[in-house]
This record gives sequence, C-alpha cells and structure tokens, in this order.
Amino acid sequence: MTESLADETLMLRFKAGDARAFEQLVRRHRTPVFNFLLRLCGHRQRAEDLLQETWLKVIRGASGYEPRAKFTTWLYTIARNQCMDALRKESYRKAESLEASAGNGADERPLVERFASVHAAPDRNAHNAALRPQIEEALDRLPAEQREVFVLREYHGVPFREIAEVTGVSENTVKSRMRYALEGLRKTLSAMGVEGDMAEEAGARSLAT
Amino acid sequence: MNREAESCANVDALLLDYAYDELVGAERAGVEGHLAECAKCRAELEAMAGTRRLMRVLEPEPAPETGLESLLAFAEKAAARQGAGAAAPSRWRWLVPALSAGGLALALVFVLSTTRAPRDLVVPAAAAPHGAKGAAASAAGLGEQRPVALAPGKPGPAAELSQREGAQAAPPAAPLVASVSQERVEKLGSGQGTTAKRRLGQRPRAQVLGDKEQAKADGAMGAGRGPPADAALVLEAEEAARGDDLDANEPHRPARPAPERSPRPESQAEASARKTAAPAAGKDSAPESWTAQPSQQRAAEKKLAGGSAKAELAPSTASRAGGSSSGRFDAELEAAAGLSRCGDHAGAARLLEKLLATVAPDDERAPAALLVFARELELAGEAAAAERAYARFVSLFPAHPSAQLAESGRARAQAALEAADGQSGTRGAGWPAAAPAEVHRSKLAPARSLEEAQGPLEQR
Repeated sequence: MTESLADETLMLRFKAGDARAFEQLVRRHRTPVFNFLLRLCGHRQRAEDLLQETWLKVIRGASGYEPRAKFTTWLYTIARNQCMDALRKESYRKAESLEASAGNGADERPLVERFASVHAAPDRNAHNAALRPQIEEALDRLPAEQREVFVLREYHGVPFREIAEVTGVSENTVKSRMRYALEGLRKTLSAMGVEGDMAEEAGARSLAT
Repeated sequence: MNREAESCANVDALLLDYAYDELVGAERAGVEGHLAECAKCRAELEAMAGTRRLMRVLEPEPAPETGLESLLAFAEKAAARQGAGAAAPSRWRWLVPALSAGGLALALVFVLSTTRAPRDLVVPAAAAPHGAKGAAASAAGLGEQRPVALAPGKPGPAAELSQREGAQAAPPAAPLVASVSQERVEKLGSGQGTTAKRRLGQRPRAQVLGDKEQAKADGAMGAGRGPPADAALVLEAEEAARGDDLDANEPHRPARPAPERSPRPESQAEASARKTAAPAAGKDSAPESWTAQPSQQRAAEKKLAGGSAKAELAPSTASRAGGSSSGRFDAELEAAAGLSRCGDHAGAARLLEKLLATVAPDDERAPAALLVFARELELAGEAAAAERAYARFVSLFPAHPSAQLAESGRARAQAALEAADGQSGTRGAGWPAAAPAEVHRSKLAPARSLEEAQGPLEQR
C-alpha cells in the first residue's frame, strides 16, 4: 500500500502522471490547509475559496515541482501567499467602502464573522466552548504577519526555520514576531478577563502531521 | 562554558525554542538548568504556556467537501497530461473538440456582444442554424454576420472551431470558453451514469457540486461522475487557451468607458442615476453573495432567457439527454449578452449578478461569469463596482489565464474612479434615490425580442 509514502514522493508521482498520488496528498493535507486559511483569514467562505485555489495551484505547479523543500513548506507558502493577497485586497476594499459610506458607522468586518461556531467541531467541554469567541477575537486582532507565524507554529507544528521559508523573512524575524504574537494574545485575552489558567487541557489537539 | 550558569538574557533568547521543543542537546540542558534556579524565567515560560493553553481551545475544523470532486477530476486530467499518457489515461480527452467548438460559440457570442456598437439591435441568434451543425455552426453564422469580432481573414471559421485548434484560431474567446461552456460538457459527462444525469437534469450544477451529501453519496471516485468531467474538460480547454493574450485582441477602451452608453457629456445627475441603477443588493455584495440563494430570480430568468439561447447552443455532438437546468447558465449568459448588445450594460450586469449568485466560487464557470460581470459593470460606468469585481476575480483566480485581463480591467476602473473623484469631489455623496427597478425593467424589452427571435429554435 502506498499509504505511508512521503509527501514529496507522492508529489513526484503526481508529476509523473499518477492522479492517485495527488488524491492522497489532498486527503492528507486538506484539513490542515483549510484550518490554516481559516485561522489566517478568519472568513469561512474565503477560506474555502482559497483552499480550492491553493490546490489548483499545486496542480498547475506540479510540472515544475522539485523536491528542494518539504512539500508542506511549499504548500503552506502557496496557501499563505493567496491568503495574504486576499487580505491586502480586502483591506483595500474596506478602506474604499468606508470612504464611500463615510459616517455610516457600523463596520461589519467580515473578519469578525470569524470561524462560525456552528460549524466547529463538537466541543470537548462547555468551558472551553465558552472561551472560544474571545480566543478567536484575540487571534483576529493580531497583525497578519504575527498571526501567520503563530498559527503555523502553534496549530500546525511548523518549525521556526520552515516558517521563515514560508513567510520569506529571517528566522530571527519569525521568532520575534512569535514573541510579539504571544505577548499580544496574552494582553488581549487578559483585557477580556481571560487568563492562562482558565483553559482546560483537553482542548489541545494538534494539526501537525 | 558552564551551561548551568546561563544568564537570563541568554535563556530568554532561547525560551521560545524551548517552549516549542525546538532545542536539543546542550542548549536544552542549559535552559532547563537555568529554569530550575530562576523564578523569573520560569514565570516567563509559564506565561507563554498559559497563552498557548488558551489558544489551543480552538480545535481543527473539518474541511468542506465542496469542490473536492471537481478538484480530483481536474488533477486526473492534469496527471494524464503530465504523464503523457504513461499513466492514468483520461476518459475525457475525446470530448475536447466538442468542448472547444461549443464553448467558442458561446464565448464568441459574448465577445461579439461586448465589442459591438451599443445601439445595434440586430439579434445575432436569429442567424443560428436549426440543423445538426449546432454550436460551431452557429458561431460561424455569427462570424459571418460580424466579421469584425473574429480574426480578420477567417470568413468561415466553423471548420477551425470544430477542431481543438479552434482555441488558437480565436484567442480572445478561448479563456472564456474554458469556463463557460458547461452545457454540453455536462450532458456528455452525465452520460457516465444515469443518477448523475437525473440529478443534473433537476438542479443547477452549482448546487449539485455544493451538495455535500450528494458528493458523499457519489463517493469520491464513484460511478455518478457527471460534474467532475466538467472540470477535466475545462482544464483541457484552459490549457489549450493558455498563453493566448486576451489583451492583445481586446479593443482598447478609454479609461472611462461610460460615454459608450451616452455619447454626449453626461451630467453628474445622470451618472449618479446610472450608478443607482444597481439594485439594493448590488454594488458591494454582488460577488460576495455567491452562496446566497437569489429570491426573485426565476421570473426574470424565464422572461429573459427562456430556453432559446440554450437551444441555439445545443451541440450536435451531445445527446439532448439530461434536461435543461445545466443549460440555464448558458442561457442566462446569453440573455446577458443580449442586453449587452443592446447597450444595456447595467441590465446585463444585474443579470450576471443574479447568475453569479447561483454559481459557487469553485465552480469552473465562476471565473468567466465574474469576469464578464466586471466587464459589464465597467461598461455600465459603475467603476467602483467594476473595480471590486475585477479585484475579486484577481484575488480568487490569480492563476487564471484571464487574471491579467482582470488586472488591467481593474486598473482601468481605478483610473475611472480617480477621474470621477477629480470631477465631482466626494464620490458617493448625494446619490439620488432613483428607482433601480424602473431602469432595469425598461431594458428588458430588447431581451424579449431576443427571445422571440430565437424562439423557433427551441422546437427542434
């Protein structure tokens, strides 16, 4: 069975014409990539769009694929770039629509929609469920460049060195952003009355593969 | 050097790596040694750990099934190409000529419609033949009637169009084709399984693809594989079209395209009235509302589209099995083209907006529909909305062959916006509360005549 083949091997097989190899890659990484996009862009519908577009890019990029870096690094780079692009355009459009409807007050930021709780996985316990909106809000408030580092490291188990490759900055910059992210999250949550000892460990489940 | 005596500063620099278990050997031991003795650094580490505990309240969510099927079909097609036939031979390849031909016919309709003089009310569909030549032939008919829009020196493009090379013969159409030509693809694809056929006959394809339960029922590689065939074929056509430069064939539009509709200089009131011609839901929400179900759509669709455009485009290569819902997309697109031909770009945009509401963003038809929508908004002088639609295209389909076209469209729209700003100060201020429905309705008349002109074809 080919179940345990390395990502890079599967990608090379796909490049050579094996569609099944691609299917394995998709099944293996679809959920992590979706969650990455969801947490990074904070908008379910857009995350779904970006997810599809990310995989389409993988298909289109297959012919030029060389296993120089880990497949996941490549994959996250594609997903990340798509998302950052979308976020940039989003902020551009937001600025414009704010300008157009100046004084309209209510700013219905799609980002605040957040990861709709309805779709969320069943909760381990109600206590953590009650915390989630604030957690999401805190994550949302991070600057995008800190958020991406945090999400990759915390939820996806990507080492700092690889995050540096994905984001195109030095490892030191990555770590510095990570420190800022952790500090920013702590302060935001603290201001909301959420402290570090309130979460119950049961919630922790990594997407890292 | 004694690791046990690491300074706080040194340890602090490594604390992050330690917290995430990225330290090994001596460094790790050094940090641990220091932590055992230093309460301050322990507190620092605990603060990190506390934040992490909180953040891990967010659990992974399942990825949506939407689009998975078509993605895998797309991959299959790509794999077949990459393997040069060595592995995973494609079941779909033989369908490609049909796609190219039929798709071109449809796309040509649009290219024609958007490049023609607005006041010309001639209905090109009347020239469509009744016989078995189908889509390619009808494209030829259009071409003869309007040689301007086709490559010069190709008076009878039917032959080329019926070949795959047709994509090269008429580059401007091809990228649209890639996404637009659903109908025959669907019919052919649905021949793979009767369940799929029935399904497609009953519901718009966007829904079929978006229906998780159905997707599960089919199984990823199951028998009912109607929809994925689309994706595969689309890829084929898209590949064929790749590298063709739309811009090169695109008539150069002025930075501000509004005058095309009203040749004399327009007053600000007029401009505003046109802008407000967008229905309440328009403007911002148009491309965003792809998941929303349109409410008042049916009546307008029936009036505008009927089954006529669909009949015109019915391919000779495809059996007519499977019902017509999948053809509705084409029909509506054609109806929008009709409005556009009549110079009612705002009306066309509204219609396309409704059409987009039925198309999932991962639908292969989405790029074309969105691009044409943006274009019609631009032609209608709704620069802000056009800019957003173009921007949406670029952000959703950055790898699409037409992305560059969308980029340049966006630049044009931005330029138009800036020009408008320069003229009238704050844009958006003081728009009159005109009745959009009125404007919209008055433009439906030409489309009815379009339907009448095409009517007889429906009886085939």
